[in-house]
Amino acid sequence: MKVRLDIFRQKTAGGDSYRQVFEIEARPGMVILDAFHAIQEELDPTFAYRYSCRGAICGSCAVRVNGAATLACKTQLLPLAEKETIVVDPLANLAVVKDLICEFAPFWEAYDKVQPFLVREKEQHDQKLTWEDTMTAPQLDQLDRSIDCIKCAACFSDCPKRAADPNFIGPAASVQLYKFFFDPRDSSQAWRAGFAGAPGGVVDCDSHANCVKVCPKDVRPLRAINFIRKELGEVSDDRAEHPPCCPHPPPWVRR
Amino acid sequence: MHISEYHDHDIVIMGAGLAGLSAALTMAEKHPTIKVAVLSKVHPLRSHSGAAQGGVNAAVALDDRWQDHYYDTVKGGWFLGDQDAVEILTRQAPEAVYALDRWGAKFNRSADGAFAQRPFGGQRRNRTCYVADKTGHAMLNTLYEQCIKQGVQFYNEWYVFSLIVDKGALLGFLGCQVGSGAIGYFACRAGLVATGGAGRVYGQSSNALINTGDGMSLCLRAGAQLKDIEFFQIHPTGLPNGILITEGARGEGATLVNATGERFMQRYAPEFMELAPRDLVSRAIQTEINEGRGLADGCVRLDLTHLGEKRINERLSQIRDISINFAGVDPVHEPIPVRPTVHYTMGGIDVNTDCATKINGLYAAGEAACVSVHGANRLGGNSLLETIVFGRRAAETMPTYLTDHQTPDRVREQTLLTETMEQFTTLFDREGEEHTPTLRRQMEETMVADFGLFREEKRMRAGLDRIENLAARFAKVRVRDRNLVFNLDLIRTLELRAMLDIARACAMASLPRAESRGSHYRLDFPNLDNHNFLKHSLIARSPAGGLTLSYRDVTIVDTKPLNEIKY
Repeated sequence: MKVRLDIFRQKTAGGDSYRQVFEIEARPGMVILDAFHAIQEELDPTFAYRYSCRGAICGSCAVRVNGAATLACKTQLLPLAEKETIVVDPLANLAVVKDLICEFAPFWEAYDKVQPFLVREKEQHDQKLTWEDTMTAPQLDQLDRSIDCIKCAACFSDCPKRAADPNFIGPAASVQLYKFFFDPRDSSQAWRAGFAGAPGGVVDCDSHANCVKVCPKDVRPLRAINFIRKELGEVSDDRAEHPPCCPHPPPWVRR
Repeated sequence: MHISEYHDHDIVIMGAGLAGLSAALTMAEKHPTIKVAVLSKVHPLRSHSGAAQGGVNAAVALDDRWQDHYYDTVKGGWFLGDQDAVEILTRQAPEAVYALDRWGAKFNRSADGAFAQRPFGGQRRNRTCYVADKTGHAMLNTLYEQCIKQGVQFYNEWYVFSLIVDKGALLGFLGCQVGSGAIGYFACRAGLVATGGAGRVYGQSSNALINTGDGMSLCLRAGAQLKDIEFFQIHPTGLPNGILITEGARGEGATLVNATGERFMQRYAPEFMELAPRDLVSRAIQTEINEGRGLADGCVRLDLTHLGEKRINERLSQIRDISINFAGVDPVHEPIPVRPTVHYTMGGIDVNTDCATKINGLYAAGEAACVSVHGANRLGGNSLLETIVFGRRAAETMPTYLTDHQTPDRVREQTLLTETMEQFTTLFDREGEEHTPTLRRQMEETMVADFGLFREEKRMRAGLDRIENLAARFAKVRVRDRNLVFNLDLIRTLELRAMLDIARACAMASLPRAESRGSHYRLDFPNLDNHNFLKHSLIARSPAGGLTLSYRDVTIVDTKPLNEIKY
């Protein structure tokens, strides 16, 4: 079956953008990323996009499809093509370098800002490597989804708060903060609380819940943000548990 | 085209997966005055290490011994692993997982709060530490986080297209910044190649599209050797499109059944069943399919339905997602279609137990290297382990090298850079009628048909000829995208150049090995031949491009090889 994709093109950073429509033959099971390969290999060798694992774990291939951020490698072509032409754009909230490739530096800057690593007391860190910390099941459960984030920037792209306020660190960085804020082995709680509660931090979130909608790994960033807000004594929003619309999470509910 | 950036570091690391990052992190912590640069063709978090699922082996349990892990590994490798190297791997394994814990990896715990361990193939007891079924992803993120903490210097999306070597010593790395098209030279006094495997020579595989053996090819061209490159592991359980379903599923109790519902491993490995080593299970599955007991889709079935939703969600949540998203099957309710998929490169850049190649200052670690710890077949859980143990080890041996050696003689450096840039410009500017994707597909088809699970002389000979022919045709490939910014056409052409090197080397090493050992299984020589072949193959490349083959004996320390391997 023939499938049409209407794709954003741009030759260089800051250059003029235009759109190009490609028509390709689609087999059942083909995903958007397969379409990109077909275009680059057979139709236009200058077409550029990021990719690596094609299995939804590396986070390289996030793009916007029909207006919403998603991973190209796990978005099926045929169900979309039944309606009409598929519209593909680069992620929002990041400057375009070429075609569907964005400059990720602002995303990584937000990540770096939250002290995105475990901080242990020096004596703890330098102990002989002959034992592990014990951790209990509730402690591990608390951290569960936060380790799933693949830094694809789908949430960052579709976050209206980030679009309005480039100082806001965004959902993924908030999850990274959460990951250590609730880790019993971390000794930097006071700093993290201070950062989260300051302008640009987690408290800036306006609870749009787009992040929950678009996350391809069901990380639910707003839920993590709300846990942090509760710890800080901020008013929390219960929309995280019952977001308005969640096409992406799998058909079953964990816990 | 000209070099627009010059960088100077003590040590350059090429590759930012687990091996590269653990080397960089360990050096930053223990040798902070050494100036290190990490070059990666993708952002470090996109490295394929992140796709590893099942776990990392270590004899940490009170009733376990590294000697048992050692024996399981030596036997699992069909006695082709060098026993001194395997001792390092298994003896230092506990320290490696405790280091990961210090760095923040969140391993699953048992009820008493200590590391949980799951069963894995070819091991006589549980010793695989794990983070659900996302162990690689968790480890990669942890190492990257700690590298950020230590201020490790990263150069991301740099494609290295040449090593500069003179008088048998490494001078530096020459590469292209993919995002800007700038050419940059990274001079160094020592370098570590940690660029991962080359499974993409087979096309469909569990590997990422970036696993094209770039570092292996560059080291071969620079005068190092490739060892045991005929040994590519074919993992038993991939989805029809190649994506991996971890061995951890079988560790949790999943069973393999054929079209008649029979648990067929009973006939192939009655004691270890589904947890026999991977080469055995892959051949069993493929035999079932070849003999007509596969299902209509050309697969067998991996059945998790008896495990229950709770257990699957706790320990195998990612493969549940993978199965639903990429095969349309929910393993809680239905068995998953699986068939063998090319997965891991046991062979690689020839190094000793200090991670050193024969080129002064050039080191390699991780899947790109072959020490050898895995021999003819790798046990699950030992690859994640190898990256940490040998990445950390390189972070000790390389500083020692720097202390003991003068800076290399750079008198010919500019000349070599000029020559290399001329070759690069020629490749970029040449006219020709060949098309990268076409050659790539033909290489993939040849590798799958002639150097797969079941090999034999006639097919391999024809395959070698076809690959040599493809390598000759590569000289006429034209790069059609003329814009250097994010030029996928150029990058894929360079990756094809690397893959053709690996394919040629694999073909050349496979043909003379007239025995079956581990992943190299021959229909015409189905038995193990320790008398003639208890040795490593070594492929070297002359400057003109010809390959030569030689051999080196396996290092035996205390474990006498068996003449027959049973599970």
